[in-house]
Amino acid sequence: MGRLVSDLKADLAVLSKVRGKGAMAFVACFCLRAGYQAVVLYRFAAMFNRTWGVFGRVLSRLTYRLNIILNGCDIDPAAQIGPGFKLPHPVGVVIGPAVIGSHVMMLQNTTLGMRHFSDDEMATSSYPHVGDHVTICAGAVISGPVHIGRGATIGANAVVLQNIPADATAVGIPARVLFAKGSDQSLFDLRDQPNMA
Amino acid sequence: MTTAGKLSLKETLRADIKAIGSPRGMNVFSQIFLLFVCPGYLVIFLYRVAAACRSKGGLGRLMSKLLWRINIFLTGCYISPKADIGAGCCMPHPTGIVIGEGAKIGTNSYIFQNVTIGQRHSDNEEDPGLYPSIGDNVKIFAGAVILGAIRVGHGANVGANAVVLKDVPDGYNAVGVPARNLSPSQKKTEEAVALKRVV
Repeated sequence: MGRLVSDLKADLAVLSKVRGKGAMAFVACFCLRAGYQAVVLYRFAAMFNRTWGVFGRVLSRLTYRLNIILNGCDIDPAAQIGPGFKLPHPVGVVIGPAVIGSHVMMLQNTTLGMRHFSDDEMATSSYPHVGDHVTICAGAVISGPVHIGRGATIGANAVVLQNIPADATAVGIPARVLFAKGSDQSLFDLRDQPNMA
Repeated sequence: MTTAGKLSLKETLRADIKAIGSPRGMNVFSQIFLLFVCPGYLVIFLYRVAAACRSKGGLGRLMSKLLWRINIFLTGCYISPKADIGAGCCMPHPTGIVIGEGAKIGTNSYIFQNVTIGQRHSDNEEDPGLYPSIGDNVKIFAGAVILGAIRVGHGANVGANAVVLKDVPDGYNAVGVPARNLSPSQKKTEEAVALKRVV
């Protein structure tokens, strides 16, 4: 329960332009912001799943269904998502039992799933592991047991099948690593080199 | 290519339940349980009933339209009741799926989230020939778009976020934008090459 409250506070803190404080801000954001509502419903589903046994699992399943109906957002209650999770437009987001770090932002229609049907469906080992401060842009698909490094950015509609190093940007189908932040090359430099871009 | 229409509604739904991997049957309790707990069954159930209503005259058409609307409201999937989807269709995460009215899909297909199956040019809405025809045992992964009067062969796979505009032979894999057709062995080499790019 304590973890639920601290996670919800952290999720509220990453929203911009929040008016008011404490419970009032929570209620207002829950009612008015689809993204925060989706995250809150996931947090409750995950909490029910962790505790309260069979009754909790039933409640967890119903909360998960409610999230799909209200927001079109399919987040497995068994997913482990760190604090400060942000879904600006939660429609079409599908997250399997993956492990996600803190302060991650995922845009619409993104998928974190497994790659092969033969794998044990509930094994966390066949799902992606996303590090802290990662941004996943619209339509991206990350599949299989890959590791996305801290601070990486996944481009729109990229299909990620390999590990992505920290602070890198991955784009394309299948995704390739474009450049790393802080390195000498910028995106514009790479555009002049057809073999790289 | 499809067997829909040969099976009764009940038999088709039984095949769909089996495709989801649920051991439940057709009794009332199981149906209620599946409809509340399993979104993948809800979406295909609403589509099947809407499609069955459509052939029952004026009131049926109205019902079919209403069920289509309810499906959009509850699941966010635009599946036209006029589409022809074979028995044993599995949609594990039904959100953002759009299936146009002339689309034909074979039996035992997997359709993942945000998939679009539609026509390429919308000049003539009445011509059903503009929609894709998809074979049996096809897997269409997240975000794929299949457009135009093309044929996707039996046992083909369409990769995530692929945009398929050309025919896919039986057993091939379509990947990329626009989609390239890879044989199973080519797919393995390409995957190996992609994985070697790891920094």
